[in-house]
Amino acid sequence: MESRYYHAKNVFIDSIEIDDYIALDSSVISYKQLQHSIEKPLKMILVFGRPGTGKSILLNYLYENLKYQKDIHYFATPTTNEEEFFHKIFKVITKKNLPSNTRVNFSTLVDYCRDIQGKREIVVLLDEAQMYSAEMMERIRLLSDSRSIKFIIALHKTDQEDLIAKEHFQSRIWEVVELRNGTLEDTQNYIHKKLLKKNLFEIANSIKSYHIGLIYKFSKGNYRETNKILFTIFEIYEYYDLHNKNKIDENSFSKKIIEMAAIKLGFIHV
Amino acid sequence: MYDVELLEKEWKRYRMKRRIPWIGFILLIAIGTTYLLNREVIFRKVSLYFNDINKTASVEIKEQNSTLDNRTLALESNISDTLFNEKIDQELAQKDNLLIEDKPDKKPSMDIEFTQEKVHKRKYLNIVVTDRESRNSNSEMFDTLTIVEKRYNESPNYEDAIYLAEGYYEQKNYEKSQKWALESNNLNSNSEESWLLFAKSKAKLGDYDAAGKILEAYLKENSSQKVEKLLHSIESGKL
Repeated sequence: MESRYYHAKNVFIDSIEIDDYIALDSSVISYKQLQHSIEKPLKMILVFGRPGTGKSILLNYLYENLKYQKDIHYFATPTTNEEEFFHKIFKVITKKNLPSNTRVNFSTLVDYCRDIQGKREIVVLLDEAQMYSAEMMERIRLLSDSRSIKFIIALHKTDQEDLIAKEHFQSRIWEVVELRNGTLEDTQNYIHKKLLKKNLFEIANSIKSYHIGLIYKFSKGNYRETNKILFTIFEIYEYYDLHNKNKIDENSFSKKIIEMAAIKLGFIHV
Repeated sequence: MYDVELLEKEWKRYRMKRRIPWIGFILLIAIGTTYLLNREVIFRKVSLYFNDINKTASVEIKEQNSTLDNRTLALESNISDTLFNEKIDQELAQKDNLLIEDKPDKKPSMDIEFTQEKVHKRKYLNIVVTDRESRNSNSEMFDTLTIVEKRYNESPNYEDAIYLAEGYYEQKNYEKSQKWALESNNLNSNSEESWLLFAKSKAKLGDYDAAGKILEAYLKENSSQKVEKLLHSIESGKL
């Protein structure tokens, strides 16, 4: 028999799928800002924020929304091998594959980009850009200087990555979209909207402001942490539902189980 | 699936840890409130408790005291030993001028109350010295006179002789009193006391004339109101 909490648990599996995107006030603002930046004649745009603030899903959402309107490409996984990366760029520009044993001549690629300037406007979304080497980032900058390729780069916000951003993009980046952790209200909307999207109305209604406050205390509004907490909560619920039903009340959410999840995830140290 | 039962145990530990400060706080409030509401009762009980301790201590001291030889009374009190002995000596000196070799024998009997104001605090001894004479029996006095008489025989001196004259007079042994008064007078003819005791002893033995003559003879050479007063008493038959 499948527990009702099994579905609730799966709602909070961390993913960047477009179906899982929740339009919150803050994320809508970020999205519009990014959409507006793409329209500008900018060479590079930086999407900046701590892990779990929704950078990847925002890029994916942007890609899904614009893929039929613009020449837009999403590189979700960073390519640390330079050769492989330029093979991918070559394919984006020429729409042709290169034989795997063929090297891309970078200067020829730059020349080609200059040739198509004004004729095509290509948008490349680079997620997890902190994984790229400094040398590769320099070449990306040179490609963007051709003005035919616009790069939208998503970076984790750490001190070290701040430095990378400053060193390599300070003079090149024309727009920065910074993502922050959600507010208490964002967290509440995020949890409720996620559950309602999967028609889990009863569970959504059982989670009161007090419970949201407690979850927010641990997650500090970080969406990835919120997902982890909710996933663990519903996993515990699922266990009790299957093994010891009298320990849970289906009509009211349990502070105890929130705290148990927080212990499990290390937010509470016993 | 991880061990939810184990996780629940951890959560119970966490809950208990969170409650401890509150339990402590509530206990503190409860104790504080109880104290404020029952302050007087608590004070009364505490004072009763300490009174009980005092009584017990007093009884113990008295029991110890009773086991001691009256003649060798010694207190093992670090605080008051010296003071105690000094006080006894002063009392003895005030009572009489007896020179007694065996001083502890002559120490007055005492009632000692041991007062303890607080446990673990300084101990105070209240020493009440009662009248030695009232406590001494005639037999004890007799023993003393025998001892002094024996010492006098070994080493005659006025003080012992006059003491014996007085002592026997008090015991109404006027024969011996008369004898020791004469003895003391032989050792110190200027001693008015020896004249007086001799005359009084004579009078008590019924020889009023001799007593009167002795006193008159003394008054011829000396002037003394005490002697005159005694002479008057003898003559008027009031002695």
